[in-house]
Amino acid sequence: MESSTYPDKKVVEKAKLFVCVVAHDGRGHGTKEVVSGREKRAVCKTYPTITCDDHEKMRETSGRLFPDINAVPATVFCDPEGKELFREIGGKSAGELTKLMDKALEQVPGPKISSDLWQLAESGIAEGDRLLAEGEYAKAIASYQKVGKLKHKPLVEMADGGLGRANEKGNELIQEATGKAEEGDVKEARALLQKVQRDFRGLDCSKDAAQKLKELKEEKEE
Amino acid sequence: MAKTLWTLCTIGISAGAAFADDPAIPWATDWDKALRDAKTRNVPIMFTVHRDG
Repeated sequence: MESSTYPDKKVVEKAKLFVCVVAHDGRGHGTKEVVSGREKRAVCKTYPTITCDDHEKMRETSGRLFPDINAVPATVFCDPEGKELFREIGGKSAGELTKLMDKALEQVPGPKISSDLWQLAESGIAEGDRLLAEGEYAKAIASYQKVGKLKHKPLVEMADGGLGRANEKGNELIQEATGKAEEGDVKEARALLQKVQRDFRGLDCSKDAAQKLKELKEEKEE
Repeated sequence: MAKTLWTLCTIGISAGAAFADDPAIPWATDWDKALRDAKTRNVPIMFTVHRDG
């Protein structure tokens, strides 16, 4: 199965609508290098998206979840909550496995998020968090908003979470600006508020910063 | 530009490196995350158990 079924294009395509887990003892499959962007890493030759340590480590999980498996290869299909739907013992051809995958998919109703889309969303949120930590606020917000356009409710919620974190950061900066104004450093306070108003456009904190700027201006005129 | 790309690809292939976007099943590396992902994505889990020899 490892050498012919799993690399089969139809199986790989169908697997995008699953979370796939493999428990396989041993670290003797050998390694090969894969290039991802600028990064090069060594992976298992048999399961080329993970390392031998990864599939070895998963043996403990399979023993805990399915202690009654006494023949291998075994393929257990579970629903999204992890509850077993059915299992098959023995090697399967690509055609046989895709039929089993279809059977599992039929038992899980509702819209599904493919692994491609999921990876896109996860990397978008991670990129947004990185940019936010680096002070690239406008770019971070753009990254979250891009995820929010992926049209699946869970992905929109992930994006909203990111935008919420950005808004919190904007509020922190407003607090900082308020402190500066109270200390008499009105010029610095204004600059910081203008930055929040500009970089966090579309978020509540941007409107709050605009309001604070207005208040500072009025105080100055008085 | 195209020549540079071709050269880089040739170097990569001749050095025995494969590219991560070669089609392959994206196997999970952490069960707790796998379960969380399956719930959020509303997808089934395919758990396979193998043994060498």
